[in-house]
Amino acid sequence: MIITLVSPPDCPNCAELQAEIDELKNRYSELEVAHIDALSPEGEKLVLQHGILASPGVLVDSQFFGMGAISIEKLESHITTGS
Amino acid sequence: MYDMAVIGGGPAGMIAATTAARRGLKVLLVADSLQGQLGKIDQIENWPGETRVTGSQLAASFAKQVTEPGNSIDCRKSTAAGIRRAGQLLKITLAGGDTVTARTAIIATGVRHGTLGLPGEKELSSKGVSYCVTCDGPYFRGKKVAVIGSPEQALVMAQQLSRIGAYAYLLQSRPVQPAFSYDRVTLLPKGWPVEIIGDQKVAALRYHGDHSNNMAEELPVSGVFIAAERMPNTEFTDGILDLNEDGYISVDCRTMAASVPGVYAAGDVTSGPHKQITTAVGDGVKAALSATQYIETQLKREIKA
Repeated sequence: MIITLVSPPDCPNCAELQAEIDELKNRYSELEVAHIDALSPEGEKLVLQHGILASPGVLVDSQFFGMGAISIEKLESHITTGS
Repeated sequence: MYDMAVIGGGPAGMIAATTAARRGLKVLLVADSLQGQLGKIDQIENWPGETRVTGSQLAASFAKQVTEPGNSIDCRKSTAAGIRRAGQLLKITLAGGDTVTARTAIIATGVRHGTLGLPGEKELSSKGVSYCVTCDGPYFRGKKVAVIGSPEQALVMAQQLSRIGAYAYLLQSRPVQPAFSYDRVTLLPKGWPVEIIGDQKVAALRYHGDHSNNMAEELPVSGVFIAAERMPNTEFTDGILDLNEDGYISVDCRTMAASVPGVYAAGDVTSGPHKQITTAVGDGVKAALSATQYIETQLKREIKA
């Protein structure tokens, strides 16, 4: 399973979620985390495709999960149960 | 037990911790991150010795000093939930319930962004409503946005958005004519918002174009950036420290001492008049040196006793 975070460089609001995802990664060895610069051509494409308006945009296995203030509990629940 | 507990990981807290550590004090730094509000600043053009530096670059260099191997600073990722005096010592309760003991404390918990409480603001947060240009501004390149807030902060946000390539309408809490005109920034001189409209994302801002009548106008925008008055993070001091009428910690600006012996405050959380990175750093150094002197005096008394 791949969690993709889309954000511009130096996004201050993203650090907290990043730290929480790092902890998740320690608990779920199958988890991979990818970062895509929102300003890169690939990032701009994802921003348009998923209508991202807040950082970070979060995709789980290429499917849009949420953006901005993401609940780590909801993300963990989605990873473990798919709900 | 620690000589000093520094609460807050912004510039004031980080410099206080490194200053105290250089003086040989055993320091605990309690912070949820090592950047504070600094990381939310796009370009800084008045940092001594730097023509231009980003907030996150500066925060990273401060953090590097804090975490330098061999430093006597313990960093704990947490926040303070309470502080009280116990004899000559201070007890600081952390979120989660742990308590740490220190001879002195420096509170540098900074401020958080406030909200305007507009209808639609909460519902459309992260759906076009934003409080951080560095985080979300790039998604509005080529789009129209409204920027609302105090004249100084809102203008800085509008300039940042203009540089990104957005078209910003500026609505100020007090009408102040900017000293210069800026590309892609339009001032709505008497405009004040009443509602943010949108379903799954921001579609428009309803605002009064003129305070003299009650007719609201609709401004089609894709985003609303809010620079509301900031609020000091002082709730955990809960009646222990003297605060000013706006909730900032009252300090003696010569020493940064708060109203309880052994407790100091530094940076944006204080009642001091200036809220700059440079003044926060100065506060942090003063607070650390004052706290060091306080400890030395206490130790001399203990030896005499």
